[in-house]
Amino acid sequence: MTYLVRHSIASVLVLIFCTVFFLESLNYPASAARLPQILIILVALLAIGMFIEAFIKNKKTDVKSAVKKEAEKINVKRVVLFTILIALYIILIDVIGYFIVTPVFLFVAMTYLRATKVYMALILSIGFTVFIYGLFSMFLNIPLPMGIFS
Amino acid sequence: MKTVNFKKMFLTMFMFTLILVLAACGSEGADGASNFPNNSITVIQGFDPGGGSDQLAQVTQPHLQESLGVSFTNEYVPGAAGAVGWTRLAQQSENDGYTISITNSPMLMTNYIMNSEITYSLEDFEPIANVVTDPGIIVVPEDSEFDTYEEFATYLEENPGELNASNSGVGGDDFFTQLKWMEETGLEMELIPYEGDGPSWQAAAGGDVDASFNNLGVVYPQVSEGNLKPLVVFSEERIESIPDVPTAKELGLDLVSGSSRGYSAPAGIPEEAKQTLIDAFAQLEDNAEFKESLENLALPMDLKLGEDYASYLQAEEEAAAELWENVKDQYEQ
Amino acid sequence: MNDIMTGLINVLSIDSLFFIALGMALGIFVGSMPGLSATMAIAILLPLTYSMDPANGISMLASLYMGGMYGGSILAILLRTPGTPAAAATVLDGYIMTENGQAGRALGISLISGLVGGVIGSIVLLSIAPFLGRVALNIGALEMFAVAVLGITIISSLSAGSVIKGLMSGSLGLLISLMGMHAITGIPRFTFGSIYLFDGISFVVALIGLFSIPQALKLIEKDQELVKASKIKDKILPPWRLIIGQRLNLLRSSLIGVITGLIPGTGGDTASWFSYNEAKRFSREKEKFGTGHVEGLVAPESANNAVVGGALVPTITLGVPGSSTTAVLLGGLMIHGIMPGPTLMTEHADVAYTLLWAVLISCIFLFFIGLLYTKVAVGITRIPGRVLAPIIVLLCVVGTFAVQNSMVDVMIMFGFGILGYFMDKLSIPVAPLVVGMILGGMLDTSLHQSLLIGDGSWGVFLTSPVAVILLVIALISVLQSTPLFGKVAALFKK
Repeated sequence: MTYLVRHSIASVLVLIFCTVFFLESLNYPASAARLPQILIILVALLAIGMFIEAFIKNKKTDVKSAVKKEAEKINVKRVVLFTILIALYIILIDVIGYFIVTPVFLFVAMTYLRATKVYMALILSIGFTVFIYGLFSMFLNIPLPMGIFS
Repeated sequence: MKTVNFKKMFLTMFMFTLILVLAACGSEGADGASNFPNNSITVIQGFDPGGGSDQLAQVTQPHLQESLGVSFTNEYVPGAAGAVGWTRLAQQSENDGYTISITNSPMLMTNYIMNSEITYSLEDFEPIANVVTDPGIIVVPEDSEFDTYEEFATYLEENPGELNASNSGVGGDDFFTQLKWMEETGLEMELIPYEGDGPSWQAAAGGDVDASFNNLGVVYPQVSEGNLKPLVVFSEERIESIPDVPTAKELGLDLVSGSSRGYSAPAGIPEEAKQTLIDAFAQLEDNAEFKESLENLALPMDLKLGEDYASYLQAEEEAAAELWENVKDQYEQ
Repeated sequence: MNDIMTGLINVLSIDSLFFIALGMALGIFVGSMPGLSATMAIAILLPLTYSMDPANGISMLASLYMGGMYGGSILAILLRTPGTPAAAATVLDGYIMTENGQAGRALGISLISGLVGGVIGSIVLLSIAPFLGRVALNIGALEMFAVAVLGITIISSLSAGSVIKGLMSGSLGLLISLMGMHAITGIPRFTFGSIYLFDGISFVVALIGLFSIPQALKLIEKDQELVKASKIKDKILPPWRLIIGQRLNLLRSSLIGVITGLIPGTGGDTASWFSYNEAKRFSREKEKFGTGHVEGLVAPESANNAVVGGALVPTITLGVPGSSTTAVLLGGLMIHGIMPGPTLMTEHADVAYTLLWAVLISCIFLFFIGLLYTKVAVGITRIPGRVLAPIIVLLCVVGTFAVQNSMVDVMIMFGFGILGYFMDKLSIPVAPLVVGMILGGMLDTSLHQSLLIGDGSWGVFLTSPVAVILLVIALISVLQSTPLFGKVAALFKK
């Protein structure tokens, strides 16, 4: 993705966000709506400003090549999959509960990332699950999402 | 995570696991017998730890624990002036008596009266007992030109809307006290909402506002030190700690108002469990130690059990709904 | 005077020292974990203190507060995961030092700065608390508004690279902070029908997401390691020369911390940004801020520990909590039968002065226990990033859940994590967003209250000298960042 494309997408997303918020703010009485509306307009203008800035900078070739160089080093697939894994973890911890989901998440993540040897990943994931449980629930008496165990 | 290498980390965790397993084995036991209660009781608190609700829990629950023989666990679910916690009690908690909540009046009712997004209502609750009521009070700065309620009222009669008063927030008990008071007396004052009782009295003590509608328990230390002058208290009878301050009733106003805190369960809990809980609260009545700790907090005990508490909440709900109906146009447009 | 000595003797007893040390160790640990805060730990420990001597119990809790304020920085420096909101500004220069292989040095500087800040705060508390208490009471809506405006000018100085991006990030932060029930009209704003958004987005929750999740992703996105391991022999304590060189910065930042702590409703999170900004304003090497610069680490670290002393001033003298942590502490005093407020210093002078001394003594433990903890923690830099990444995620999830016992918060945290990651990729600075989120609510509420007090007239701000001074400083800050100011200044230099 080029420098300009990235910034265009970002600007559009910010503008969509501003539109949603602005429409919502029309329902409020004037005194509650004033400040948010000023800010929404400000954000929208700055988003357009960001696009223009990116457009101008894009003409300078050095920016382009520098960005390209950096982008190549990132393993996009790994980042995306890890993010999905985190999302799954958050969804499932609510349904099934901390105890089953946490060690599975840690183990799968560490194995997938080839962080360490498989047996070590297993030990670490179970170890940390129990460690955090002991720390939160038993020592500090702070609740954990227990899901079906609650 | 603190350890330097994996072996050490592993060893530490292994030891920890071992300890936990041992600990877990020790605490097993207690299976489902019929007598209530045979397991710990969870108290959902709709506010942050350290707030007024938590204070009540800290002084009340040790005594309940003694008479019921089970422990109490606090679960803090703050948000939306208590509504997040109360929604959880009303809609997501088992009605077996093992989950109860501290319920604040009028906050419990004003939440759903004022916001259609809040979907619980009084029918979803089984009120167990009210414990304290902190009466409303009007205080003015120490250097205020008003020394008595009469001077204050006379000035307002001659200059309607000239003075402003802080309250603890739109929808809070002081907000409704002030509305009731304006309706009862026909006087007009500007309402300035703050975020809580503390900032509200501080605005009065710092001279930002002319008066504050507040609660006795909150401002008592300031009153006794002379930072604030009390004009009138909205209690049934005169309060021992401030014997010179008249009640609104004495001054010919039909107005008793304040902020109450008690305990409620979800609707439909077993009759036996309900009665056991009510009995436990009834014992607080003659508990000298409990009374003393309430006095330390400057909170007047106001024990209302079962049906009494239910009808009290019912009456508060009607009053708040009516008041809100009259003024809501100023707030929602 | 007698009471002061009694307090000192009380504190120096063996059991009192033991509890202060215990509170400190717990505080540092709890503070270092994202989501877990000193406030939470105090609330949990409170019932345990019932059976203790009130002075000991309260000393332990105050020491825990001090420890928590320091502890937040440890993982902020090592993992870009601030343990408390007060440590967010520490990330800016502290974490960069870690990336450069100077983790040990950064932790050492943070420890010394925290120690200096803590001591300055406690000295103020011990010496002139009763006088300052009155000052706190006179800070009303007008002054709060001026403080918020001054704070917002920080945004422009944090906008390194592109001013447009910085301002956008800041305005977005302000906007996000307005979500939730409007304090003045009671209208729920931008809640989209969900009661979970009635209180808006919890700042702590957003902060955990904004810093930690992007860090977890960054640790695994490339094949080589992001962080250079600190050498085992890396000296933690900085040389005297460095500390002496920072004396002005330390003093200024600590005073900012004390004053911010004093104001009810503002605490470490605000103080650290203010002091960072001022350190930059007075620095000769402005351009080095954000690249692992010592001054940028010293400022927030000394300020957030100085907050402890400041926040306790109104708590003890008036019964007005100067921060959320002192609010819980206040509740603790009351349950011990000690009514906080104006009478505390006279009726319960023994407890009050024991507490004041305990805060000072706790700084000594801060140093030793902090040093110990730091020496162990620095080992984290030797753990491979791919092992750390899943563990950071785990800590974020359970830590966020603990804040309000809410799964919705965890999802919001994750959402902010994704946002933070893409902001990094587009080089939109995150810091202005954070500052905006801290100040937005304060700005909105105090503005409305001021206008209500002044019957709708903006002239009401002229009635408060403090507000006028702060607003003028804010104006100068804005002018300073425009090119015009540079030209005028250059003229004078000739």
